[in-house]
Amino acid sequence: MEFGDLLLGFSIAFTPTNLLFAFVGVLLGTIIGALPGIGPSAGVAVLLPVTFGMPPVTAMIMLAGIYYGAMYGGTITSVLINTPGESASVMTTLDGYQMALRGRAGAALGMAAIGSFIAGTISVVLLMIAAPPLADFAVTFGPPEYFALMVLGLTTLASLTGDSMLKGLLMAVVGLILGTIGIDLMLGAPRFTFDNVHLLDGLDFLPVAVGLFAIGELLYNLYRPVRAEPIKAKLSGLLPTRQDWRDARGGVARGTAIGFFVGMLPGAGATIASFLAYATEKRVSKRPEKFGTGTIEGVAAPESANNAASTGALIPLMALGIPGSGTTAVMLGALTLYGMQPGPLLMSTHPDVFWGLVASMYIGNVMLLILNLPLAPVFASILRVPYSILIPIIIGVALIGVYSFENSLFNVGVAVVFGGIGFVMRLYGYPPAPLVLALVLGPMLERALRQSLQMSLGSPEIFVTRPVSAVILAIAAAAVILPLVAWTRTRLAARALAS
Amino acid sequence: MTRADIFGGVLLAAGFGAVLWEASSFQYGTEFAPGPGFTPVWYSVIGIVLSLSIAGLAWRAVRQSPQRESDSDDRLDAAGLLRVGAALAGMAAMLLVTSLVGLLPALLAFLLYLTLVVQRLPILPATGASLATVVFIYFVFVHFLGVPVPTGPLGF
Repeated sequence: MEFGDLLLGFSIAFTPTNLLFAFVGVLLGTIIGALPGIGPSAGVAVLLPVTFGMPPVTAMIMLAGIYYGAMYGGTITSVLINTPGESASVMTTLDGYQMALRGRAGAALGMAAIGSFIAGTISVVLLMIAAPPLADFAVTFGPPEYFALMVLGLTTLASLTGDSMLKGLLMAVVGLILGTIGIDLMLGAPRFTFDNVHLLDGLDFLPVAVGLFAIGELLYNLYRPVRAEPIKAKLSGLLPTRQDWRDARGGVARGTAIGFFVGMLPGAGATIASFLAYATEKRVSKRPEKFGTGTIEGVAAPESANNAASTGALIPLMALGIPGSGTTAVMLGALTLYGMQPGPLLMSTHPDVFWGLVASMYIGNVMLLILNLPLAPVFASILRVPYSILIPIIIGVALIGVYSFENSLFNVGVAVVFGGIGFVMRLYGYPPAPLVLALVLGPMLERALRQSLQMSLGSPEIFVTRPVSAVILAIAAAAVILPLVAWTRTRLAARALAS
Repeated sequence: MTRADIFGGVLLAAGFGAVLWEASSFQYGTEFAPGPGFTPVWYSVIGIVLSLSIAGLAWRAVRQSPQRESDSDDRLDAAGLLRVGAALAGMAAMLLVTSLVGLLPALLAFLLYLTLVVQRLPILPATGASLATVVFIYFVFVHFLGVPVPTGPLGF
């Protein structure tokens, strides 16, 4: 990293247009995060078409703003209605809501905003330091290493998402198969097109992502309406007291470190980071019995972690071109739509995009702090809008957004079909994120696999004889095998106990 | 794992079987390189194994604790399913009539149907939300972003 790169980034981020769209992004992200049921993946997917007329750097600034803004917004619902706005805020409900019941909702939201700001800012510094050398290292990667990395991303996401690892893996396989639809890129043969011209170019990720993340979720809310009334809390005292700060500062520091490193791992993401940060905080606390009753460190640690993780997740995306979560998969799709080749060369071929994004994240975090401290009551008032009114608005925007992607009604039909599929998946606990990630990665993974096998004249040994790919594949295998071993041991122990 | 997972697992396995059948008609490989059929064949084989594993585990779980089937969480809500089915049917109908009446009128009709018939919202918030959404879409997508939407006989 050179200082000049960062200066270039700030010169881009400080243009009036980019400042405006960074603000729009973090504002929309906060609102999206505050609405229960609409997560950052759905938000980014639905709003992606709005960015089509923008320069790529402006679009990425806005999309990233939505992503990390949603992490801030998710706290509001967790604290005020005991319902996480998105999955990364689940742990915040445990102590945040208890604090609100005791009249300290303002302190909980304030500490979450300040913790998120500190975590977000430190993580951007770490992103700036870690991404360029990683990208330099990854330039030496060949198809076998890329194949291994993509397998790692898919297996970790599939094994960490949802209640059942098998269901996550299965959804990844479904996504991979959907990714094979269309003309085979290496030999030109059509696959699974059934003489439909719309399928020759394959299934676009956007209609599928909007269908699964947004329409499926909204249909689920039609099926089982959200009935959440915010508690009538007075949002005063948003700035933490000296005692609050003393109690929470360790949680913020540990949450930031855990969040950033977990977020950086392909597939792990903000939800796992917040779980780990909360568990760690409880373990190191001198008063673990107080957790769950309204401790401020129980809010500070997971909130810092989820914000740090959302920045950490940009490292594999920007340095390797490998998204580690549903949201970053949508952002990867966005990069390709803007005509960029995601991967280690992105930073050298499009330094404006990477450094403009980095600089905008410093600014975005300041904007979020300013927005979230004085305006917390305004965001809280969004929760008073009945969800039933929001459903038609979001469905309408989602459907037209999908249409505007390629001016194609076929894509709208795909989104509707995947909306129905997403609803059934939600009903039976099949996670959508591995499917979308696999759909985005599928064609790249297949190309890397086939190029690798061409290099080795058909021998799969190439994946284990090259040290980097061997190590990455071993980690991927461990991500699948270790939970299975733990599950088997638990079952054997339970059986022994029963007998 | 519930009884629904047994059915779901078997259904998915059958789906992967169909994919395998179709994929077997693609060229599997050349002398030194995999062909277009290579990955679909292996993906569908892995899919069949995973689907049947889910079905098998669910079958075992149901057999070991059949009382779980009476859990209220596992029961489907018929009225909820009807709302979802009606919403999906509305979206399909919207797509069908778009070429006749234009995209924005079709969307407005769908949103009115969704809010008034499916969600049974009071008339004022329902029409307000539907109209506001279509006006917002017109200004952002059609006017500002210049998205060419199919128009109907009324010119919009």
